Amino acid sequence: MSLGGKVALVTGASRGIGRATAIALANEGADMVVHYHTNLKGAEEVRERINQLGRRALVVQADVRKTKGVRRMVQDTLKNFGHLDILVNNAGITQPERVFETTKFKWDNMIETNLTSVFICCKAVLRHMVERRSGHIINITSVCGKSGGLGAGVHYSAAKAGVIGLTKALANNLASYGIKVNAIAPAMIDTRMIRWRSAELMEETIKQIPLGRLGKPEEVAGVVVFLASSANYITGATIDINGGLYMD
Amino acid sequence: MFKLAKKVAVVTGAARGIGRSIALELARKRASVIIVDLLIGEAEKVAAEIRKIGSQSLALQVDVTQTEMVREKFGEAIEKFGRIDILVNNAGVLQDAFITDIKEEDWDRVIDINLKGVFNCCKAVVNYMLQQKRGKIINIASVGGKDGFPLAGVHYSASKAGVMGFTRQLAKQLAPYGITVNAVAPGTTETEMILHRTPQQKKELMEKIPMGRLGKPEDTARAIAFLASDEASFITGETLNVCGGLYMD
Repeated sequence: MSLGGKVALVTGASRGIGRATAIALANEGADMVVHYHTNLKGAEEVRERINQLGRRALVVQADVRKTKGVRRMVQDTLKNFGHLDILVNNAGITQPERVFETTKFKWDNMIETNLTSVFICCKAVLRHMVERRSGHIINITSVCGKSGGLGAGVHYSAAKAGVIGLTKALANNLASYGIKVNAIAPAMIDTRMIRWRSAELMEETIKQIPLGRLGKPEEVAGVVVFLASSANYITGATIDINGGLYMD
Repeated sequence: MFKLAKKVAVVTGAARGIGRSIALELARKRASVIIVDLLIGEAEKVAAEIRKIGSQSLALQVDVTQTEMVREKFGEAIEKFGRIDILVNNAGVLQDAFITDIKEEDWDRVIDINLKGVFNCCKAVVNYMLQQKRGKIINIASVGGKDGFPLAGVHYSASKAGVMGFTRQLAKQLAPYGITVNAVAPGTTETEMILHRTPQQKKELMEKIPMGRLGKPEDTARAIAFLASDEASFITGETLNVCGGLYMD
């Protein structure tokens, strides 16, 4: 129980990596805030799972692109639990396409949803974490932010690369306050987000992964648990979890 | 999470410093640990500490630069324990020197221990891991191998950069067999390796570190224990920086 007494907020926790992360953190003893945007059913199911593990869970709806809603979410968290130790910025969308199809409107929406939201959520928890002189912020970026591959849109790759830069600068800003900020860069994790591929393309893509398989959302959750529980000298790092698909 | 029950680990350079900390951390996670070092007396002490925690341990005196000795001694130990799940290549030396003060034998020595040693030890365990179709190799690199440390010699940084290149290549080659290969890049850690540094030098170093302190051996040990766990099985070819924010890439 490495996270006993801790409170964690995971955005986009109704499915996929967010869901697995919320459950894994709860399994290690944390009480959870399960954020969702539209998938209420999924979020409630996650809450049930967390309760079964003997931990408390608060389900909160918010559009992470909007400051007001995010601030309210953090206020609700503090009202319910009294403190917040871990923020996992996981909420995000994908839009695989070539640049010819990417309009300014799509670009703006992607940047808002995948990058600006991370800034908004970090700002919303900042005062609290700085006051406590402690906290972990973990941002889910993507291999696409480094490699630009895998059919990702240019807006997606740019947003995810932005998350990496934000992570490092924020780590620098907050190090002296005892707050660690890190990122995790997954590739090809078996969730809804990668299933836009045809069976053929999926098979072809998996052949390119040295470990020869997709990653499990639980495996990304494992990195989050490691960072939140055992990584007090790691900050500003981006941890790749991609089956060997990309190495730097 | 991250338990290592029934796993057998070999840690080189585990008599002191980061290596010793790694060995103890793996033992705490319930792994059996083979302590490899030239300093057999201190290695035996660590093995004894591990037995007190309740895990099995064996101390081996091995010179990691000797290919045949490594193959023989590792083979004996692995046969004794019945398997090898984790290899941590930690044995290494540092020499602070400006390039013009580095003699040919200094270069050879540092490259031999820090880089050839990694090659020798990996060579000695790979066949066993291939048979098992599982295994984890973790190499200690260094932030010096990416960013350079002002005090360290070029041979040190070159050897550590070499460790990272080696790590990625081996990761690619062993991935189809379910074996992961990763590295941890510590920043400056408070161990015997930097006893020769002055308080002033340490102060100057700390000023550059966002977290404001030097690393402790446990910081790296915990990262190693994570990479050694089954939970980290989708991570390979990765170098994880454990440096308090000194270097970010």
